[in-house]
Amino acid sequence: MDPLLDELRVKLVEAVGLTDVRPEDIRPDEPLVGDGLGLDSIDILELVVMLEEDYGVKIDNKELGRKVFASLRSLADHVREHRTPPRS
Amino acid sequence: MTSTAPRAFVVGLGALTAAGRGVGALRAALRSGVRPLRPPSRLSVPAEFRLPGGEVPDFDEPAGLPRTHALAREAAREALRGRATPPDAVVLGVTTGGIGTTERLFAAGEREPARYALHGAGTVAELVARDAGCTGPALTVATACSSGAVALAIALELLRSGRSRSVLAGGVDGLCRLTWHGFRLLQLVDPRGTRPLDADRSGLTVAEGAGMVLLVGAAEPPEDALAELRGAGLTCDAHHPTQPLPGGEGARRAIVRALADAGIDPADVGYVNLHGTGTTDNDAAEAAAVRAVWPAPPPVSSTKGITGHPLAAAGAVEAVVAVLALREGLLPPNVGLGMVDPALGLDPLREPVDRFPRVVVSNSFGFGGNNAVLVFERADERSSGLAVGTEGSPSRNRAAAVPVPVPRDATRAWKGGVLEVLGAACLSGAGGTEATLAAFRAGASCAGTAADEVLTAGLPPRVVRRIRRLPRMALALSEAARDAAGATGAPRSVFFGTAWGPLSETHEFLAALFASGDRFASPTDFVGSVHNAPAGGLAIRHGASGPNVTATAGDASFEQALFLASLFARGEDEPILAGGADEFHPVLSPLVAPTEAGSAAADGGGLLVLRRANGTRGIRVVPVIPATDHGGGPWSALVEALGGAEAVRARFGAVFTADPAATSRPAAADDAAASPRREFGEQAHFEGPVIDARRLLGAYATVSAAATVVAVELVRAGTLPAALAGGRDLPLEGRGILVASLGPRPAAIAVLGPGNAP
Repeated sequence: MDPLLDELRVKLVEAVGLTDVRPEDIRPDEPLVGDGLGLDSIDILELVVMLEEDYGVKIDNKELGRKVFASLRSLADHVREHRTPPRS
Repeated sequence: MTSTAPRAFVVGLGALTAAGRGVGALRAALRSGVRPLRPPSRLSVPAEFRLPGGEVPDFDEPAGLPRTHALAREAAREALRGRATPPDAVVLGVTTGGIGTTERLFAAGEREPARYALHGAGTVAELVARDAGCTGPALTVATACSSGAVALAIALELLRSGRSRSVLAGGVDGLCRLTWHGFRLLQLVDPRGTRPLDADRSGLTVAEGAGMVLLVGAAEPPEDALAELRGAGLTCDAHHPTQPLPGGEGARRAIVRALADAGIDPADVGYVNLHGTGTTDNDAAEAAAVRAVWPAPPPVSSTKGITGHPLAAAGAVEAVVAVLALREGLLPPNVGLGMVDPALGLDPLREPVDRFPRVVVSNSFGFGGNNAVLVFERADERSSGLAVGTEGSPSRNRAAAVPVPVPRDATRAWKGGVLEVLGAACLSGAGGTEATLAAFRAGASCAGTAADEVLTAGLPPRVVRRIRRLPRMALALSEAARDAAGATGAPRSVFFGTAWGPLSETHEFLAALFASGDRFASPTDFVGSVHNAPAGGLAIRHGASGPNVTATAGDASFEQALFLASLFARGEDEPILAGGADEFHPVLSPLVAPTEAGSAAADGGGLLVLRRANGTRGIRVVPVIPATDHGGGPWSALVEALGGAEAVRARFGAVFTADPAATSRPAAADDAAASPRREFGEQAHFEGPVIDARRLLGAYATVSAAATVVAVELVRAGTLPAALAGGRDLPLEGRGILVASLGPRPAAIAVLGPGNAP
């Protein structure tokens, strides 16, 4: 069990409006972009906003983005390492 | 087009840019290669987001006028300076309209609708037309960052067809929080200021500006001609809301179409003004397109390192740049460049070059995959009256020596081309086409808002997952209209009218932005908030890779869209999707689109699959836009355009009205003299049924689109049902139905039965 990973599954599905995907069906290592979950550049930016708003994690360049958004697991790992207390 | 079609000559220029107020300031910046991009002083931006921007310096809008309107008015006055007569028509590209003012009012909790009267993007052209004394139509297109160029492409068709003898065309957008933060949240803003074509480029610079071009139609260059607008090419990627087709195929097709339209050989082009926003993807796709057209490209540069990206104004400001290049022999530099990206395969101008090109190509591209390319030529090139294209070039001889016949009523009313209906669908509070027709036939009101399930039924979840109400309405209409059209091929072009654009996306974006102190909002909502997002979605869904134009002009939005569809209609084998829709939003609609007291919240629209009509076959539609202020009123112009009172009575069995002005007036004041509907009745001596479509289908701006679809079906059936015809079925006997918007922006659509002449 990884509570952060499960939390991110739910937030991900919600943030990009994947009404045809159940959060628990996202496999931690499947690619988020293109084949796999089928997200595109706009979806990734939506997740960037969610990460900054909810976890204080900033992703402001493409190379970092490619690494972080490779899969649900890479996303959870990055958030775990870089999250900051939310701004009041 | 015949060989005697008028040519379009530029005779006036106006521009406000980050370089300053006036064409002179722009010219000086192009010559010196300055870089005036800096954080804006007139837009309130949190310190962490004070990135370089392109603000028009030393310019404050007068109280009560949104910045976009003020910029447009000043640029228009510059372009018209010294002219004794007003232009026949105004065509503007605008994306944000009065949103800068709306943002401030909304954030301050203002709830008085009168304060939002200039919110609509179409109000800019109306203001400019009034200021210029133009009583002809004021058309507005919103095709994101290609808007300004699309406006000039429309002006060219108006002049060629003889519908106008002079057109003021341009583009404008003022800085506002929506675009400033929208592009930032899309990570498309270069924190160092845009560096187009640079190896290290990382985005655009959000800017504002206005560009205006006064064009006249003539067989020969007038003495004051600055340049000739030779041709235009419009295409749509039909690929993705924001990302260009890899390889720039959509852009390449637009360049090729523009050159073919102009009859210009690519080898004769002496300078290409690039769209060159400085984003990674735009510059890569555009460079690929340029190299595909020109294996050895002519001199190229992007001038956005000087002006920033003024969005809807870009294409018009760069049209001014193109004319300056031709007129003054000034090839402007690509400012902001460090090292050119070797992957692009282009060698942009680093310094201003003194050289007189014969032909200049100007590229503009926008969200929704909208591509617009313009071709300008030196005005003195063909003064002999003969085409002087190089040997073997596809030049067409349009420069006939005979005078161009201009229709006598050219400035009284604009009649569009005739379009044959292949299929149609509408949407109302009652539901889809069948439910709406059933209620309408019974004389029952369909006014209301259809449930979301009605919109999304039959659409895959992935297609609708990140779009809200208006784009869902457009898609639902398009599925039904194509079903009704049967075996007709895929549409090639899309013309869509919407007065207010995607209000849900706009509201969600601004509400989230304001609630977070201008820090967070959904980039998806920003992309979806542009007026042309629904039409872009239609193009993707149906693979429509031809022109994709969104018109926005309050209650006349659908009529303008249909008019433009008829203007660009080409072969019979090239079906067109044309329609209009508006959504009801519980917060924004009551502010920006107040309706008559007591009317229900309502939205909907209509969409038709059309093609250019051949003779009098099938059900056909003809849009008519009368002048706004003419002796005898717009209705005499409308009746005259329809062939006179006798023809109106003979051709139409009923009139559907969408009449916000009359219905919003208190009943007591609705005397005979004040009612446009009665005025029309008097003009046409029309004694048949006059049916209030706005009451039956809903009080919203583009209800005339739904009314047109209902009219098409009733004309097809050949009978006006008893409930609408005074108790007894009324056989139409080959007559059609006139759908007339009798509001402040008069317009009409003639729906004709088989055999009925337009």
